[in-house]
Amino acid sequence: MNHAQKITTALLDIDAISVSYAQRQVVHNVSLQLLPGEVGCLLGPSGCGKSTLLRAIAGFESIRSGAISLNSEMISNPQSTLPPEKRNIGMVFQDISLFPHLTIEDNIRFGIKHLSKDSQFKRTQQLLSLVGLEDYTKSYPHQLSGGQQQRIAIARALAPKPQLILLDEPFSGLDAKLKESLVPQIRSILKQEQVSAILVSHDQNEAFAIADKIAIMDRGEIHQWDTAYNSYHQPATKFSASFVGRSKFLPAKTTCDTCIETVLGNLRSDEPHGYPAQSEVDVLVRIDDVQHDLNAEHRATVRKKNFHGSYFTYELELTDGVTVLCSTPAHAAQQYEKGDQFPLKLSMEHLVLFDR
Amino acid sequence: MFSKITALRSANWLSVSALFIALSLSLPLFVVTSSILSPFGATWNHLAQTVLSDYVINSALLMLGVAAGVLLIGVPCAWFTSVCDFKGKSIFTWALLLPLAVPAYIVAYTYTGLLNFAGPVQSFIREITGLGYGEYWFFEVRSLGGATLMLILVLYPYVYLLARAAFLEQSSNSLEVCRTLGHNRYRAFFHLSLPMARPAIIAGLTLALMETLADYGTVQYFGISTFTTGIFRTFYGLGDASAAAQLASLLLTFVAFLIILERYSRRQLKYHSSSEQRAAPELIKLNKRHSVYVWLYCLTPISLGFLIPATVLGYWTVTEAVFEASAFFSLAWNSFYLAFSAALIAVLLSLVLAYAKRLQNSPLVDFSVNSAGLGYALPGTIIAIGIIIPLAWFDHRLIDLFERWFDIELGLLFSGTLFALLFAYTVRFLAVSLGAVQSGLGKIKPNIDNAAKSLGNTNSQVLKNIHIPLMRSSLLTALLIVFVDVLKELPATLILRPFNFNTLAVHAFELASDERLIDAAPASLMIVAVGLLPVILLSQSISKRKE
Repeated sequence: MNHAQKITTALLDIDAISVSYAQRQVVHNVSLQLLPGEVGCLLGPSGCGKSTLLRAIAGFESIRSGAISLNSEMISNPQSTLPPEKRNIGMVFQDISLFPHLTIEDNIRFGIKHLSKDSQFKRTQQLLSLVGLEDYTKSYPHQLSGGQQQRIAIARALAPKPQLILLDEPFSGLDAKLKESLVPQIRSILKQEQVSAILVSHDQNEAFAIADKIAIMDRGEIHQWDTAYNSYHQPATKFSASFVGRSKFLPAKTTCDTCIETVLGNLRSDEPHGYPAQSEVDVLVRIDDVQHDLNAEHRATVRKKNFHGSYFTYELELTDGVTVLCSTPAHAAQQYEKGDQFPLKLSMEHLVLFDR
Repeated sequence: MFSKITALRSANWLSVSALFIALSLSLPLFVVTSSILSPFGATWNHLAQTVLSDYVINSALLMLGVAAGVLLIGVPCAWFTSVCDFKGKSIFTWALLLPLAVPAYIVAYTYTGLLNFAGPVQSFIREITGLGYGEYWFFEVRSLGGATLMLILVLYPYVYLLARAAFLEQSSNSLEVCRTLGHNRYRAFFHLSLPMARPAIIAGLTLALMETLADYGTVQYFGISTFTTGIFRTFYGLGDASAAAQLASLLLTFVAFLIILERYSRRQLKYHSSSEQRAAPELIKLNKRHSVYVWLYCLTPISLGFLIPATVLGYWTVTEAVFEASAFFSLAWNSFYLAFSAALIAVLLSLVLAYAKRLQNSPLVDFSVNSAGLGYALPGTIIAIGIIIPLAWFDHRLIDLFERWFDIELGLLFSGTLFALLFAYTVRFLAVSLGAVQSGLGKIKPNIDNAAKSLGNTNSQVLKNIHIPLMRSSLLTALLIVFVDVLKELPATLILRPFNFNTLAVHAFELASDERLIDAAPASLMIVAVGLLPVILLSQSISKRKE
């Protein structure tokens, strides 16, 4: 993708921005482009700067360097910040923040008061049926459950038909069961409204379920901005490899352009891995790369065993301090306890190597 | 397309205003404290040799007695109405607040009229026993003990309110932990509930003691030499403003101790209250006999502090009081517009301070907000002395100036007018309105503002669409509470009122001092009736919190 093309197609273009609170820089030199209609997710541990980045996009924070453009129009640069109320960017807050003194209907109408009464009514009805809460028009926010409030908050943000909607940890206050049903609902609402969105999350399951593209963030930097599939299978850095999915690193030595040598045997990749021969590297071993096999030639010592209902996970020590993870079905005939020898083999589709 | 962020500029403007407000309101405190630096004159030496020890001892005894009394009434009543279950509990819960409506000096006149030699109680005793003057013992109301009792009767609700809130906040979890460790409900009270509620109880106690130190009407009427009466006497009797200020600064050390104690316990309060979701503890169901004991225990302060005085005042007003409607209404009008103006000023200044703190939480703004709210602890006499000294000085400079340069004879522009009075009320009661405004504003989370802005609202639209509707009830509460407090205020009004300007409180005080107790009843009744308004509001908010 060349530079000119990027400018014309991206809805949101974040170009090398930094954000600081007082002396502390919380977002360093971050860039990403979001295409129209795309749902993006900023994924990272708490304190990684993802919420700050979101607030900078919304216009609640000014930026120290770089630029943010929306539809090729500059909305933030170090000299000036277009105020949030002029950006036409919708936002849903972590604490939901519905207006407590207004009915559900009035909450949704809040951002479209400039329209005719008739179109306000139509838009409100349309959104209420979209989020499945037509019967609550005259209710007040405190009469709704957490999940209902969250859907109303999204309807309220969607009402003015923003080009972009930002969601700050929208599911963090909800219980796991509710989250599971609400997340796909919200994705289909966003897709039906054909609105671009960026949400912030620390939960990879949530990110995978809702986003087209994921930005993995740590310590104010974006490690990878890619599809969910690629983030998992082709992590760009050690951090994104370890943050997404359950995995360990195994020390290895390259033996040719496409092959490496580990304690669990020699492995081969389809494409050249890019390291010269005899390099010391770490190979990423996902939990699903390790398989229990009674006929395997390798054994590891069980260090931990956890029960998850339908499956067990084992933490297995190969040599001193080097461990991998493996899961087995709960109904498997073979059970191992702490200290037992566990027969295992590696079955990897492609190799992901990092500097040691 | 770009508009500079104006919020920052208005925040700066606000914090400058906040600082200005804080400095102006600290003027009386500054004047009184700095009086220690001026030379101690002959009046001071005279005071020190004669009455000063009386002031200290009587004030200390009064505080000690009141402390014991309000704890003895406030804490058990709070416990009964929060943890126990008995018939009539909901009525007692709010009725225990009723004495808050009655100023101590009004209770004092009422009981004097009721219990003095010529009063109905002693007359009745003489009638049935046939005894004459001096042949029997009767409790002398107009004594230190009497004053202590009067103050206890109207000040215990402070302890009751805070202790009750603390008991209610205690989660059933910690109580259950206590019981799994082998304590029964009653031992759990002494080992867990009471220690956990201690910061709240102490905070309530310090408020009651601040009011005790501030009281002038009761002790003056009973002829007890305390700091407040001493300051008055030094100021009016001996005409020595600087000695009065020095006396006030000594009183200030007592107050400072209470402020520190209060702030400390409020800080502790934060640690002792848990924010976690909690189930209400199971209530202790009282049997009939215990219920009767509890009724008697709760009914006693309610009757003595409210029912009896209010009934007696009502009876006097209807039957015997000399009552001139036109004079009375002009008094009421004076009181009302003064109280309303003061309330309006206090709320406006509170809004400036509260918004300054919301928009810019800098140490300077923090300092401003804290020091502007300090006046609630200062007795009215201290504030009045601290205002009249600088204002009189300023007025006299102004008069000299105008005479010399323009040959115009100017009156006392500030010290002799309502300006001084409004100034004093604002200093004294700003904390009250500030508290209400801040709690109202605190309920509007910052993200509510942000949500409105992301939906296209400008700062002023956020104010109009979100803040004003959400704050309306807090602002009305603030107005009402300051209004009523000003209406009841006595010592500062006595010192600072313009010549021949009377209010209901001053009128009642003057009539009572002239031994026309019964004629003081209509004005007193009016004050009590208006005083009931915030109590009703308070009891409503208590029952709402329960839901």
